[in-house]
Amino acid sequence: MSVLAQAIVSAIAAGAVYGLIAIGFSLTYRTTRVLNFAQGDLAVFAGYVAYSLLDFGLPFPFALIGGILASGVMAGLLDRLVLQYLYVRKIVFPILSTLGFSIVLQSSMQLIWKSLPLSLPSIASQQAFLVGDIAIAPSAVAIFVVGIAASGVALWVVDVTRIGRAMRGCAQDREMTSLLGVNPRMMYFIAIVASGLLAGLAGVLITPLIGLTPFRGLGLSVVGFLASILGGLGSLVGALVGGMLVSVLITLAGTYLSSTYAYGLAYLLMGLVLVVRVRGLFGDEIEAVRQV
Amino acid sequence: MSTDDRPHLSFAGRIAAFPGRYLVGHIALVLALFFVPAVLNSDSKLQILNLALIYGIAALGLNIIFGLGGLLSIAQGAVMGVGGYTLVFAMAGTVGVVPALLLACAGGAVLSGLTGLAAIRIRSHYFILLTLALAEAATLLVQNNPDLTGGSNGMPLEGSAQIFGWDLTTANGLYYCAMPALIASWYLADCFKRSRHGLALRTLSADEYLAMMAGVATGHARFYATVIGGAFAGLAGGLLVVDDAYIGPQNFDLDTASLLLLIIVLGGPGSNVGTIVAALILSILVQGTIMFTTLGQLAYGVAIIVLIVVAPGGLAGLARLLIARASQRVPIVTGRWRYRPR
Repeated sequence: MSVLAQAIVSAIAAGAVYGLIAIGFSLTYRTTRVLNFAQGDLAVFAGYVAYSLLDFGLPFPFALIGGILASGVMAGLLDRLVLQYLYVRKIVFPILSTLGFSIVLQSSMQLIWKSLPLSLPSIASQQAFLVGDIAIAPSAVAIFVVGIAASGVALWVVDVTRIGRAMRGCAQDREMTSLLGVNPRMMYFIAIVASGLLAGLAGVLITPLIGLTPFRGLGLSVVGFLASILGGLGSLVGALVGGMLVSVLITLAGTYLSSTYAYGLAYLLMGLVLVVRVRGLFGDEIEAVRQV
Repeated sequence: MSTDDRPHLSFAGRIAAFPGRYLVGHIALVLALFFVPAVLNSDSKLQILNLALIYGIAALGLNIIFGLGGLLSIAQGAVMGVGGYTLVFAMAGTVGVVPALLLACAGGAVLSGLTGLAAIRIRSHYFILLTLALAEAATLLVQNNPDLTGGSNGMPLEGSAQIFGWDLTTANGLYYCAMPALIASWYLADCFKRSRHGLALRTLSADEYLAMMAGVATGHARFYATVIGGAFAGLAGGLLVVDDAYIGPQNFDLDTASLLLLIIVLGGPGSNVGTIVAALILSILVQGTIMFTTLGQLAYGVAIIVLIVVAPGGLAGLARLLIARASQRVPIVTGRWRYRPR
């Protein structure tokens, strides 16, 4: 029993981070209809920039913030340099271009920081304390709290504020929303930069756990995809819950079944969800039917 | 497109109508291609050409799925891999190389058909993610069963790849197998494209509801597309293994899939000739320098983006543009970087 509880507890911190990536992914999808394959690479990029800033002598918090901003800027570049020309084309072309962008980002990181694994210090102590017989590290708690807080802010912005409403409008009916005085391109830009910032935050949070190599990005993207499909593509709450579920599932499968097939199980689940219940846990039925 | 006198023919009907308009051109082409190894006169150059031919076959398959059907499949590398492993297992079980290649075709068709079964129900974004999951899962299976597949290290090809003493493992021998295979694939792909099945597929990728109204069974059309495209990829995977006399998961990863997609984008989605030309150009570039250096990777990524943004119709679009310009039929350039497709 305690093994189970321990596994779940340690999975949840990572789950919050996966949730952040998935939220960014879902936000981009529901506003622009683009699947951003570079989401995970943006997260890794933030980790690298934070590492360099720290190395340069900046205080730790500023280095982290710098990393997050850097990945926001990179996402903005993706929109301005590439995607803005492609929104009028068939949807597969912008998606393909994010795949290209992911290759660019990955090889640039490999050129600048080489392939050797690096790491960042954790945002809180890794010295675990015991609750009952479950060990909890303060760093895991901190990651969880920051992740949930950031998700809450993202949800609040999208659900409550005027910008969020305009974004949702663009997703539903672009022409109508632009008649109401909203600039859809601006909304697309904001959505993508916000996703970049979320990915950056996820990156600096998860780096102490998994380390930094240029090739981590795709794995993170795939986990983000899994999470957002599970929660329902386009649903932000679903993305957060999906992130938790994927993390718990992978950890439990790794603990009880076999560590090599943990991800395989997650892929299987994703395939099942896609074939049996496309809208996932929290997805909008109409939304899913329109796209499927 | 020239007007077609028999648009009602099915895929099989098109194939049966051989040679149709192709006879003279094909004979001339085959004769010319027969002498290529003698002209090149270098094994290393011929090996690169062979790779280009093999990727060309796989890209022709992807062109049916993605170019005609609009289904962005990221699993095409994995489908090639299934073809390759099928061939290796078959040849270890003392099956000759030709039946093994046919089995590779079938293996590729089966895996790709699985994505096609899903494509009856889901499409666009969901299909992309499904193929991504399938590709990753296939890699995982290969890497975690080292007893069966050699794991990450791969394994050598057993059995002799000979047809009546004609050795396929030499560059020369493989050329005379891969080149006919490419020409046959090209012929089949062209038959499919111009058959009513291909027309149905193109219609449904342009406008799903219009296609349904015209009586297209959209699910069937997508499924057939993935099966046929997968067979091509399986064949290519088998040939690639014969070429290397080795199989390993790194030959069939996402890089391969994105190379194939880039070939389609450069050639122009839907164009078979464009796809083959693009396959030749890109494979030669990639095998030359690109994929082995980080800087090359960077250039490759930039090339993908620039191509997508600047050249919507790829090489085929460019050719159509130039022809239309030369014959002064259509006012074409509208706005920045765009032409109006006919």
